[in-house]
Amino acid sequence: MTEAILDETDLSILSYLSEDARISNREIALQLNIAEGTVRARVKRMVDEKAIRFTALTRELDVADPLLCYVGLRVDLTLLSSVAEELCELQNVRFVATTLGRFDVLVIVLVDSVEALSAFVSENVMKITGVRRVETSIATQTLKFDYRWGKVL
Amino acid sequence: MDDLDRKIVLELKKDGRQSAQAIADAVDTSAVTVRGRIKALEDSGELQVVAVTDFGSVGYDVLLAIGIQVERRHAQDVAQDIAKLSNVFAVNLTTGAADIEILVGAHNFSDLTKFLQEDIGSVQGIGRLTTAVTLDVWKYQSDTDLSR
Repeated sequence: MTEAILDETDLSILSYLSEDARISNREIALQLNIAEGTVRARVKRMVDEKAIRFTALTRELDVADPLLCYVGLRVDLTLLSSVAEELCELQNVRFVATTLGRFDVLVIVLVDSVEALSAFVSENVMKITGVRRVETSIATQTLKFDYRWGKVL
Repeated sequence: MDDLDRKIVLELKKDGRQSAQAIADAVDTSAVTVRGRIKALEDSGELQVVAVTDFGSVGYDVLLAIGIQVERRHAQDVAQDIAKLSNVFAVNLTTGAADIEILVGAHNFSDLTKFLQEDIGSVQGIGRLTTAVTLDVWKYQSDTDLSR
């Protein structure tokens, strides 16, 4: 098990940065009543250790009205890693994980229509060597997709 | 959003905390323009520049994708209750075999017992759970704002 590498002070700093990453170190320092240098050093450390990254949250630029879809795959297990790697490269794929259980690989993708999902499966996913079976499910409502969490690579 | 806005946004997606000057250099305009554009996009609600935290860095070592079949209750009400749990990162109502799909983080497997028993267990209307335990997360980015 990896140790949590963020402490309480880091998390307090993050509570500001996860709302507005353009806020200055000085402003965070004032709010938390700590030194500006402390904020700067901790932010740098968190970025260097890939604990956090800064990004821009927008409506997807190339998908006007995104449909979030779950795509579950059964694959040749000897090709598990190469399938996952290829899936990461596909456009508008937001999540790829190899899993144990009801799927071998789980993908979350954004598409702009049901037709686009069908095309994504037949033209992209099924063409990857090692993919045997694909199951899809469309989100009719997103109650939560917490942007504050992700995988920093 | 015009072309310049899009270029600035793409720079911010790469590194949301780079200076206005660095962005200006990359997209060939002035820092003043970059600051103005960012402010305008933020004010209109089209853009939010944020920090994303790696779930592993706070000790969430186990990530599960759980499909939930709902019984004797509206799936939406069940989903709303589940969305309140802090270690649940995503909650979607879905078509297909499961009524609700969720992503859950846990520190370890004993943490999951607590999650099932105390958190999910106390939500009314949970029928059957089907799970996928993630082994390797190859990609997980949520920089699309689905709430807007």
